[in-house]
Amino acid sequence: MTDIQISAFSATWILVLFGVAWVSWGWYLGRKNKSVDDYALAGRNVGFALATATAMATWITSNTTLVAPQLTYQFGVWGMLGYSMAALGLILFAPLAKRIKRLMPQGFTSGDFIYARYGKSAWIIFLIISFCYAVGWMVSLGMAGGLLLSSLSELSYLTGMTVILVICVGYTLLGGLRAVIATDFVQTLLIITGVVIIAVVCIKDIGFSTIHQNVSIKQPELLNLLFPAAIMFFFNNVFFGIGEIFHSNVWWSRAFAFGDGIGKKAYLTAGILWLPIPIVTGFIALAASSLGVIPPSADLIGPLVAAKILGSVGAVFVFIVVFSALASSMDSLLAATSDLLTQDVYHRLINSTASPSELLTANKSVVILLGVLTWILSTLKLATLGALLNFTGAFVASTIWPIVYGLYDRRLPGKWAALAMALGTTTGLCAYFIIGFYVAAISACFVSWIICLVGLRQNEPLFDWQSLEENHRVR
Amino acid sequence: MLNLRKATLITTFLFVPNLVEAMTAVNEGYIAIQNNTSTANYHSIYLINTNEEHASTIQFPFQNQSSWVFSGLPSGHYRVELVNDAKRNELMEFQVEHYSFTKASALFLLGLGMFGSLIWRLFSLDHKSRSDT
Repeated sequence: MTDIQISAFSATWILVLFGVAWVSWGWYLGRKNKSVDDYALAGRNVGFALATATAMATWITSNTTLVAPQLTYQFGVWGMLGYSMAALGLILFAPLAKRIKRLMPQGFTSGDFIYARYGKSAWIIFLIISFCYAVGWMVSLGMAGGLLLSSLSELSYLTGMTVILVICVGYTLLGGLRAVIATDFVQTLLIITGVVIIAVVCIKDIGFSTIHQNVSIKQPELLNLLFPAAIMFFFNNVFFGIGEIFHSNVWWSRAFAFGDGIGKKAYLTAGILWLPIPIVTGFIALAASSLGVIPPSADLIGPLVAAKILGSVGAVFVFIVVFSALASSMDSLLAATSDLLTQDVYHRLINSTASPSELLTANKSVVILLGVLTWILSTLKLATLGALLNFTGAFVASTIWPIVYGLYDRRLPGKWAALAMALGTTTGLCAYFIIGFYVAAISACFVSWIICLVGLRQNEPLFDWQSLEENHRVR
Repeated sequence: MLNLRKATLITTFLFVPNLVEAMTAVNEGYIAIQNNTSTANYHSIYLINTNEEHASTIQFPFQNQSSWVFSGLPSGHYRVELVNDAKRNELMEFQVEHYSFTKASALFLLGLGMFGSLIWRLFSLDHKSRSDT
């Protein structure tokens, strides 16, 4: 065990207060939901401020508050910068969001698009990829909740993981996307304030020169700009971040939910605002050697350093900030994945004549099932957060080129898109297990790209953009 | 196994996987060391680089926890010792051998090229789609 900062009593009270606050607010907001469009897409009319906040808060997650320090602790300066490059996912998605809304104004999910654009084979592979990614991300968030509580308080890993799942499932279930977006807004404010305070105290109390001196002596490779594994990791993380956003229904559902003309501006602004956050959160990991902190697991370095800097009161503060970050991602993922499974699996495959109320019930049932599945997998604690997240990189990076060509280039046939995603993922997984987690995404993306380039040279009939909207109307 | 290695070799531009036992050799400069001692009666952890050219000893305060993760280590042969006033208990030895810079750069350049291509394709296609409209 590490140094315990928060008593079980205090930790339980914080969890109860947070739980009641978020779930009650979710219930309050959910009263306005009258249809599946309201529940899943917040009425398709989200404004610029909320749109930017939800995009930013969703992207500030356990990745940013726990994995950015982990990667800085493992890969040094490159790890910190590489992580911040995940902002490119949001920035590059900005034009895509506009295009998506224009091509499919009444669309529901990313799966809708893949089915209409590439056909059933590609759609099945895409759904498998999306599901593996969503489960991997949700499990990492559940794990992060457990790790957070067990490292900062006397409560166990199992308790922390269970509580965060119950709270997020609770308010997502009651409020749908409207609750997710509203809570994200408040969570963004909490997270940014907290992260800035921790970084300022770290610099003020320890100082740049002390940190630099200690890292130079005890962890010299972290400052080495020619650190080989870190160089390998850099673009891997860029493609992982882009793949996560380009394919995931978390971001597509927001593109559909945002009002006309909002998506591009909101994603661009959110990306620019998000860019410095991993640098700030990652930076505190460099103070570990100055404080004599050696983590029992690399993914705990952020909370442990922050708690050490701020003391027992600070531990509560860190707890609230990271808890907010976890909740803001978990709820978004639950909402978006349940939409995807409801629309693409239940509605398309199981009950194509489902009424709006049946769809709403199915959607809520899927939220609960996802919560249970995540709980079961999180209890297994299979890997560190960074390793688990990058495992999903092999899946998502293979979708980047099929999504880009699918949205803009009429020449890429469905069977080649399917092949690109399948072989790209396979290659990425081989690289993950044989070389390391830091090469999975880049390998997957490269193979997928080559296959797409071959596919573009096939003389097959060009795709008709009109059929995207027609396909959705037929449903 | 050989075919799998060949496949990886092709797809990742000549990255040969490390075949040395995982617990004793690392390529990334970080390692998790399990605490298999039953007593907490130590005050320091010594991380000793025994390489002739870069011999050094780094001292960390002892924390009684299940494992310790050390990172940012340069290439070399290391010994971990737990120390109290009366004795030094050797915990384990391990080797850090970083990937070659040439191979790492090849992957970096591949990433850079693919990223440049993605940006160019994305914005040229987006521009073209707006012009078509």
